[in-house]
Order: sequence, then C-alpha cells, then structure tokens
Amino acid sequence: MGLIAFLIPLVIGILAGLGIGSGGIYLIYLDFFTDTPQGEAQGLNLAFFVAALLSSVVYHLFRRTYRHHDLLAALPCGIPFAAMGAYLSFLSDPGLVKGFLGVIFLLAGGYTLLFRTSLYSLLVGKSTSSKRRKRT
Amino acid sequence: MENFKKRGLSRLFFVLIFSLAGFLNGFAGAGGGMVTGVLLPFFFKEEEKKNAFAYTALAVLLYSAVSATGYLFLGRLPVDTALSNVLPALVGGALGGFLLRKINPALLQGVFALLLIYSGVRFLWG
Repeated sequence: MGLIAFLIPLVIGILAGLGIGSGGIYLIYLDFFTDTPQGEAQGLNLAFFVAALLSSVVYHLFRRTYRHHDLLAALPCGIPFAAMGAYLSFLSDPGLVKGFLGVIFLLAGGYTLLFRTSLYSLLVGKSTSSKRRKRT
Repeated sequence: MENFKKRGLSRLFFVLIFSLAGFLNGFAGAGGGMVTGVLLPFFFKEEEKKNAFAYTALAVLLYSAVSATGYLFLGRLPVDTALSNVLPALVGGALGGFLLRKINPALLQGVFALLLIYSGVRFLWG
C-alpha cells in the first residue's frame, strides 16, 4: 500500500512534468479512485502541483527564461483572484464546483484532442513531430 | 512579444488572463494552467512559443500555493496526505521535465484528452 501511495503521485508528477494533465489528473484520480471529499481533493490537487511544478520553475529561473517584464508585472494580479476563488469554492455547493470542473475538463479535453495531438496533424496534414523539430 | 505590442494590444490582456487563471485555480482546484497554456502562446513569437509553458508553470505554481494556503485555513487540505505526496511529486515533476526532451508526448496527450472528456462527462452527468 505504501509503495502504491508513492508510485501514483510519482507517475502523475511525471505526466505533469511532461506538460500533460492541465492540472487535473491528480484530481481525477482522487475523485474516481478514492473516497476523498470534493473540497479536500481540490486542496490536495493544488498542493500536489506546487511540488510537481517547483522543479520546472527552478529550472527556468536558472535558464533565465523569465525575461518578459509585462508578463511578470501582470502575474501577481491573479493572486487575489486565487484567494477569492478558494473562498467562493468553500461557500459553494460541491455539486456546482463539480459541474464547473466538468465544463473545464470537457473544454481542456476537446482543445487538447483537436490542437495538441496527432488528430490535429491529420486535420492540417502536418506531422507534429516534424513541426517540433523545425522549431528547435 | 514585440509583435504583440505592435498589434496595439495592452497589458490588460495579461491581467485578465492571469486573473481568470487565478480564480479558476482557487475555485475548482485546477484549470488555471489551461487558461494560460492556451492563451499565452498567442502572444509569443513562433521561436519563443515554448517559453510560454515556463510562464504557465510559474503562474500555476504561484496561484496553487496561494489557493492551497486558503484551502488549508478553511480546513480543506489534509496536511499529512499532502506532505506524503511532496517527494514523489517533486521527483516525478523533475523526471517528466527531463523526459520531455527525450519523447514525443503527443500520444499520451491524446489518451489524456480522452480521459479529460470522459471525466468531464462524469462530473457533469455521472
């Protein structure tokens, strides 16, 4: 049981590091495979992504990727909204939050399927891998 | 980035994007990265687009930390479970970042997209 409890977040962390997940994969695991209450699942998902993204952000800090001052200046604007969202979620009915998540997942899934997978390359007649090679 | 300025659009777009991402992260516990991940690349030049993920990671990290603190104070974050996830999440995240240069995640993304759609349907009508 201890090994499984380690392996599941490890695998989900790998997927997050690969840029796959839209931040929701751990939430899906908690909702569908455990009996974690909805609010706690959201809290655990947030804490999980703080740890999973830390190495990526440190890596980009060392590479000095963060150079666009307009973006960096606008970043803190989301902080009060994040706090407000957390409080509103606490006040809201879990069913409403679940419905909201459902819409987000459908949009994210549809977008990923259409624009970020081989389905997109089939539609536009290009290989995503050759596109990636060209860019790098 | 320069193109974006030339098009005459203002910093207001960034403020709106990050505000929406922050709210989604706090309210639903996920989804902030979807907003920034989809919208930010439009403001980058083609050769700089891959840097958009770096800003998405920074924004999601920041908003997740703020939201998680809120959830903690509201009694919705089981600390022991969260702490037990820190090590595997750190190792997994670093490993994923390393593997990103080695493999093409397009197939995995396709599988995950289907999982997201399935989960969305279950959340809405399940």
